[in-house]
Amino acid sequence: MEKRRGRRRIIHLLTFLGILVAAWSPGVAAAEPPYMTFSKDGYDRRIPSQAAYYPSTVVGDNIYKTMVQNGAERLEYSPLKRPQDLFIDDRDEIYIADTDNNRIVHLNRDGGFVREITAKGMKSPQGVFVTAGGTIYVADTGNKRILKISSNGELLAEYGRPKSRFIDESFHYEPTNLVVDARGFMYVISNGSYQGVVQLDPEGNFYGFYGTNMTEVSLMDIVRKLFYTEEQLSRQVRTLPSTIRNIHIDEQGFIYTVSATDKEQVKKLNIRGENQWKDKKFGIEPRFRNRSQAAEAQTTDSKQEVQKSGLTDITVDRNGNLVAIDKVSNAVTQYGPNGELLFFWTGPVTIGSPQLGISQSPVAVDTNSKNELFVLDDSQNLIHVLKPTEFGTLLHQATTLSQEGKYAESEPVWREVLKLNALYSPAYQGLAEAAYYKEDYKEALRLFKLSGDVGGYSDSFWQLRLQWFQRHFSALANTAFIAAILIWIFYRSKKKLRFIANGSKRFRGFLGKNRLLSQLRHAFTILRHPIDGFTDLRYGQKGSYLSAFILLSFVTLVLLAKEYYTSFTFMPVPSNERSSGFLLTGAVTWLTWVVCNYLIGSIRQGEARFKDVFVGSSYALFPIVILGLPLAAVSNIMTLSESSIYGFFETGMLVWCGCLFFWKIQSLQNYGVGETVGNILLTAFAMVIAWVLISIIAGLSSELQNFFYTIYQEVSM
Amino acid sequence: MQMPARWKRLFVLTLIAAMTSASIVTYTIAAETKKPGQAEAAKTDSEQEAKQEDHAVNAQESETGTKAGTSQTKDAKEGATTGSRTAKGANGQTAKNSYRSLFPDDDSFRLASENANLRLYVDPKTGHFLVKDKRSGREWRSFPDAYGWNDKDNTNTWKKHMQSPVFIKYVEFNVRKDQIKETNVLDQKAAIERFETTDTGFRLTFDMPGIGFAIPVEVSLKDDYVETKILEEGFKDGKTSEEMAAYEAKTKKKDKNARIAGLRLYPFLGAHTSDREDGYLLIPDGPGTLIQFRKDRPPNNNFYFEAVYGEDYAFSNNNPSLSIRQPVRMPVFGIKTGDQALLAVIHDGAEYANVLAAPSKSMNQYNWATAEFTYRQRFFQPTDKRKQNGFQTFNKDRAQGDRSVRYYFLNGGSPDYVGMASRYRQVLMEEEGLKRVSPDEDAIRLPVYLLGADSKKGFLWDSYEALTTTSQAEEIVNELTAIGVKKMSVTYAGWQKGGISDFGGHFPVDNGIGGNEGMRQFIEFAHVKGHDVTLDASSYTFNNTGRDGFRSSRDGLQDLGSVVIKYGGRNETSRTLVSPRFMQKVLEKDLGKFYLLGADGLTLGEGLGALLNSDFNERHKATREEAKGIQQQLFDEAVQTLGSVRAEGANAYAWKYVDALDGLPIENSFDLFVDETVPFMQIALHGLIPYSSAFANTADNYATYLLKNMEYGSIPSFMLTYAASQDLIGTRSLYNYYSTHYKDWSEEIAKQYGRFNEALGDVQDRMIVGHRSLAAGVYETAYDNGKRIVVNYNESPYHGDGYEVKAQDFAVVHGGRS
Repeated sequence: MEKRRGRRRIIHLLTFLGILVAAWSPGVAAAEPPYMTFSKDGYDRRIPSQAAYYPSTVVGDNIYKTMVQNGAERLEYSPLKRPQDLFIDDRDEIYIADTDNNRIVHLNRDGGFVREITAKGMKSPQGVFVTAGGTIYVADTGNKRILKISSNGELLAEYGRPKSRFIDESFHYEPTNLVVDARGFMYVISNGSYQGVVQLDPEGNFYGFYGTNMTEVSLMDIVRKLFYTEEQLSRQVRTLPSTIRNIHIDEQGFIYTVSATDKEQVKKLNIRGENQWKDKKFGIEPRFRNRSQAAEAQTTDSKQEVQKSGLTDITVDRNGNLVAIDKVSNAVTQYGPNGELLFFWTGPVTIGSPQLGISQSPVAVDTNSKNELFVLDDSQNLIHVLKPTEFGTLLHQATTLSQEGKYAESEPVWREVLKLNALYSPAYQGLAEAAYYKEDYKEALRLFKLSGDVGGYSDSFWQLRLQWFQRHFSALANTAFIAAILIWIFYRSKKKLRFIANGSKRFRGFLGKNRLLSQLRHAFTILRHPIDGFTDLRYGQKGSYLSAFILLSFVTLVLLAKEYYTSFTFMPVPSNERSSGFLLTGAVTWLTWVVCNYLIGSIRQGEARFKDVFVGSSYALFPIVILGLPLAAVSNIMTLSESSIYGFFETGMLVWCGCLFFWKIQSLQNYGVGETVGNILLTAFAMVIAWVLISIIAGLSSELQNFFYTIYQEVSM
Repeated sequence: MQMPARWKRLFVLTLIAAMTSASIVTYTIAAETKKPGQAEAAKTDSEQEAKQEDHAVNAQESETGTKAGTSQTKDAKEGATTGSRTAKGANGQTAKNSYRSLFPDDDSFRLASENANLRLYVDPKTGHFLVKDKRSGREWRSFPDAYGWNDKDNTNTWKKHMQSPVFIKYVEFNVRKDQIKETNVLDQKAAIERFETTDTGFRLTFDMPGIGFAIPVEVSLKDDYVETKILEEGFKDGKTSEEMAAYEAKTKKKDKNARIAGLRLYPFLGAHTSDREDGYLLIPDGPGTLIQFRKDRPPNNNFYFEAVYGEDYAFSNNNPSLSIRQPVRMPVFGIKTGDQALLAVIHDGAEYANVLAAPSKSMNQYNWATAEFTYRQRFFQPTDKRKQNGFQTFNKDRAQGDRSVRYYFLNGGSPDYVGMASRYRQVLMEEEGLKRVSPDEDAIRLPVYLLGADSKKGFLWDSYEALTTTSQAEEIVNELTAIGVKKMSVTYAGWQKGGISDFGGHFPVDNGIGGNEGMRQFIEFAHVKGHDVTLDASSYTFNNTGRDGFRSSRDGLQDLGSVVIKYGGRNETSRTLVSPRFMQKVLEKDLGKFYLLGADGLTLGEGLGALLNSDFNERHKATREEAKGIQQQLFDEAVQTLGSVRAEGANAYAWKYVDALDGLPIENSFDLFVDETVPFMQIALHGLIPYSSAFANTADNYATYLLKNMEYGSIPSFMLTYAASQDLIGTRSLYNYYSTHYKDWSEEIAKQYGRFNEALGDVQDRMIVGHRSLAAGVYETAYDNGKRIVVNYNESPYHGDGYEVKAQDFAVVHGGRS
């Protein structure tokens, strides 16, 4: 809308959406896949990366069946309809559970149509699994049974609802997917079953429940349990464990399950049903969830809670890497064989322009022998095929070698990875481990720091320190011996060295004369005699605003130096990310404290003036000056094994400061202990109130300003 | 108990009524919940059965006597011989009545103009025209082609749109300010006024007094093209205030105040169904993309709609409609059907045009492509200080000027995208004045980007981090020349004061990398070695330092809502887009300084050639057309002062000024409904301007990327720094570049230079005359001196006619150095 000429405009700035980030970078936008690939470095930061997989083609969208009609052969277009599952067998042939068409579609490795498999009365099959021998197992969901079909298409067996005394009448059996292990045992996922996976023996008899999830009890549930009556509790929805969404079996027989829980989203189960990955975290940051506009349309599905992860399926490729797809956020995540995050990528989904490589509604994923990813989309009714890029292939190779402990062989591969992407810090991790293994500890130290591995850094430093001690032990021992002798001589001949004692006395006298310096020296006195020292601050004129400011500046400098010089082991933040921002919050808190303390003290019969509180609070920070720098210095020669010592001193410093604040209040305000405690609590409360008031006023005034501006705009438009 | 008779009767009646209504209700509910897809599938299935029978019956019938009738029987005979799928052709006969009733018969056309190649016929009643190509005997219509017409596949709304020569989008400002409505000349009962034939064609005006629109159209014939134009003179985009007052006085209702927002002129020119699957639409997505005619597509609403020369941020800022596709650099599109092909080039008003293309079954039965001209655009008008609340509306003033599209009908050569690209090349040479390049030696010039410096976030303040000082740059150039890279075009980026993240106040060259003196020495050194050096000047597009007298609130580019457009996300430096007129003043002042450094030229891009935005800043107002003029003027001045200019990702209007192009796209935007990517842009430009694509060292698939470059005839480019790549971590803008350390790449660069020089060195001034796929994953590019390069992307070798191409490699066939 144009403004009328001659009117003073108020022009404002607006931040443009970051989609144009890619547009500015020279030359990057030309050949990129439609999604952004990210990885996580050792600091848990997300780093952009080259694509690990590149969208290659689409399969399953051009299915033509040969039909014979009126004696003539005809090709009939027979598209998929809401397919729910995908399976790729050892020969790379693709089987799709074409649910709404009530059939299983069999495609060859290039995506060409081979045949469709329909057993009698197959209704809404949602799962398919093909054994190494070629036998096809179908989860015939509509008929609530499992079908076993031979590779020729003959029906071999059908397994209905399992009967057992462990399964009661109310159990809702609706098989949606299954895997079959080497012995022929079937692991069936039943829709809505919270008891876990239904395990059937090769004859279809019930064998047990497998891999059940734990009930997740939230804090609210615990509170409710404590406070609600029986009747209210009985009306609550039962907290049940989450259902298992999907299942996969790898070549070694480990079974992976995916559930929509917060913990243990992906489980790696052995034959006894024990989760090997109890402590691992899966799923991507909430920031990346709900990125697609399609997600808003899907909230009608009450099973999917917005914000919860929507992991729908997983697969394990030939390298042991795990790929998980998330329906809610349209993200694909790849984990290494030990559950560590390798990559994830996500791209914006816009309705109306579906893109190759971004599925709108991914329901199943699988890999073939060439480690290509096949993602089945049930709203687009096709399969996106993603090929690993050179970068991705190299990375997998290097990760596998590192996992197997072949550090020496993994080193050149990691170097290749770094050559392609020098910013990929997990590569430094691999190189660092290789260097550590080769006992090149200096190099390992540098690389561990680059990759952000504190444990590795600490270990390498420990080794280096040990080596240093071993090399210099003789020199150290000699020095210590000579120093001991010198001190013994000095004490023995103290009388002869009187001039030293005189000199130091005169020095102290000089210090005493200068008022400022004596005030500064008083800080030391406070450390030793806190209560008297603080009283002296007021009545002995041993403190002034000037000395307080000087002390505060010292504290600031020491804090900055501590932040900057603390060793990496104890502050695992990359050096370029350490910032001085914390100073501002500290200063504001301290100032608020001083003001509130004075105010509270004055209403509660305290005797301190504002100057006393101000000066006293700055002197109370003195332990930081004393201990801060030595701590930072010492941290550079300690390792994680000595972290308790470091922790002790650091906590000690803070506790000492805290105690000094306590004694300051007690002595300056002339309180007893109980009154001091009360004063402190009230001060804290006052600080909170003060800040709440400030933020309310700030918010209201900005709203007021906004309001006037809007009125002005409306009137002038 | 005895019930009185009346009660009994009443009771029975209500019972019957309840039962009938219940059954009606349940029946309708059941009918509604039946899935629409299934219903459609059932419909088409039954249709197919019906057509089968019809074909059997109608194959015998033929004569209808008219030209259209004979063509139908011809089709029917073809249908019978070519098999069952094309049997649909015959259905034209039974549904012929619908087609004939909607579209003008061939005998309602009369000759309007004729030249050596084409004949133009016009139907004065509807305004449609027919073009007959005298060279090939083919015809083109300004309305959908008859073959494959199926009445049931098109909704009534679309039937009306297809009949209308003009498709109108408009906004009713007094009803809803933010909603677009669609109509056409038929719905508005337009009258054709002032029809006259001119010596090159005809002219008429569609008059719609009811809604207040008047659209004057001119169609003219020249050489081998037809130009359809919407004239500015006589164009009426809505009622005048007197007319509105008259309307209100007459009907006692407020006038809706309809204003034209967009127009498509003859949108269905060349539209064909997918019945004969031998055809495609060419869209300017990336280097050029084909949408094949496919009969069986899943029914969804996919279509391609993009603004020529990219989005205009002055309207799309804060608008949730930002496109995910690559920007359109060339105002072209094309249609091929059978052995006919046309290339459309948007001529007047290209900066206000959008290219729209839809495959069959997405909106209607036809594959069609057209240009849509925008007169008014939607934008977000904020109403509060924080720019978060507001409303969407359209601008009151419309864009002015003639709008025209030239349709070139191809003849001879190959009626495919290669032919279209050759014709576009001819257009570029004739209209834009591009000439065949004259290379001095048979050695290609390798584009190398050197990154000078950036700033890093530091502990207390940001620090300046030099990545490649001028003396280090000399080392790099020295080393590369020594290992065999004979000729390079070095672009120095990030040379400005403050590094690459500081925009504004570029001069003097930062002392951290050597200052003006260092730069001068480096340029001299490079000249001695035989390379040329350009300085990156695309950074003049932004300003974030306030130097050069820039005040963001006063001199920034503003959108219609008076919001200054700023870039910058979470991890990015924020910078403000500079008003083009202001940028012009700054750059003109600095041109002399570039000259003093001895630079061979500038590398432009961004707001100089790639981004085209209107500016609504009161001080520096510029329409999109004027902004284009400003950019072109700057290009011209740069060439005059310094001698040469390179551009990165530049739009077609800048091509006539540049000596080389960088950042040419090689991939489409990954839409699912499009098919293959074709090197349309590359075929058109090869031999006229040397070009390269994105940097090879940041490509996702390095080996495949190089092969693509070889196939497209482009020279790979590299981005290098002297500093180790790890030093880029923590910088403000360069953390996205994965691997730039020159030592990691120098050998590779030398090797690739050797290979590309041997393959492409002697065809630098040659045009590409052929491009096709020999097998899956094997492509052949042919140059006009007989040289052919075959590229094999597969993992197994390819055996051709007397030659073999190794896996993931290329081979030169028939011809090499002359």
